[in-house]
Amino acid sequence: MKFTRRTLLKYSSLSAISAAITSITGTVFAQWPSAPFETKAFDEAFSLVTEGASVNEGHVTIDAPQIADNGASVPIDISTDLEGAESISVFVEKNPRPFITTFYLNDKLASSVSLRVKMRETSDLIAVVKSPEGHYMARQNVKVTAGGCG
Amino acid sequence: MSKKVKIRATLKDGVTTIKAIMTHPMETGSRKNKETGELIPAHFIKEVQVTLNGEVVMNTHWGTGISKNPYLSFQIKGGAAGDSIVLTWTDNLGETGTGEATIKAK
Repeated sequence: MKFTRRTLLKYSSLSAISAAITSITGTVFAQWPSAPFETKAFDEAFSLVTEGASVNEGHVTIDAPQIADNGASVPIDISTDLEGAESISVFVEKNPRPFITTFYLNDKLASSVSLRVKMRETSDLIAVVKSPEGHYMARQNVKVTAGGCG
Repeated sequence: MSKKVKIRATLKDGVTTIKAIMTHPMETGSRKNKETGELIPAHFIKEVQVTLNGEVVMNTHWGTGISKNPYLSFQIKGGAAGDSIVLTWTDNLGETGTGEATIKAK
């Protein structure tokens, strides 16, 4: 078989499908959204994740250090007061791949999460919450003195 | 082979706080091996799921921007002392890790 780029893409998507099947441990998972995770453009990642919805500021709080001396591990807390919030998505605007994560919320999950992210350089952190009332966001700048993408 | 996750769950005032640390290199795929100059392949956790007594209470998708040896903390409404919390992660190479904790009341 001629080993072309097309063959490679065909086989990598097959393995992605089998990986998706084996990771479903009895609960239906939304599929891993590869397009926003792979894009290098913040605007594109943002609009893919929010599905082009209009996003207002407010109702979301980002708790992060003003100055991070280790960009490899920046602790952040995100919380929202929106009732019935469905998801929290996080971006680091100046990272090579700005989209960091989405947490899918449900009525059991209290609306706050803490995690540690990599920041390559001083950048804004952006958190977007999707809720029945619409999309809301917060933005916070973090100064990074030693970048964290290796 | 499933790798261990360190996880703790404490109940206070009707809210269970879960704290977990996973062991994982979270390689972005952009780092170079300093000796050979070759790119170190991407190897990162893509999905994390947490159950309370077998019912899913949290799931999340991750990319390469999450730090190495990921720390994660979140809260769930309810839960009772003695309930079982299980965290499972899956990475881009199909490897998985899991950890379990019993909720302890504070």
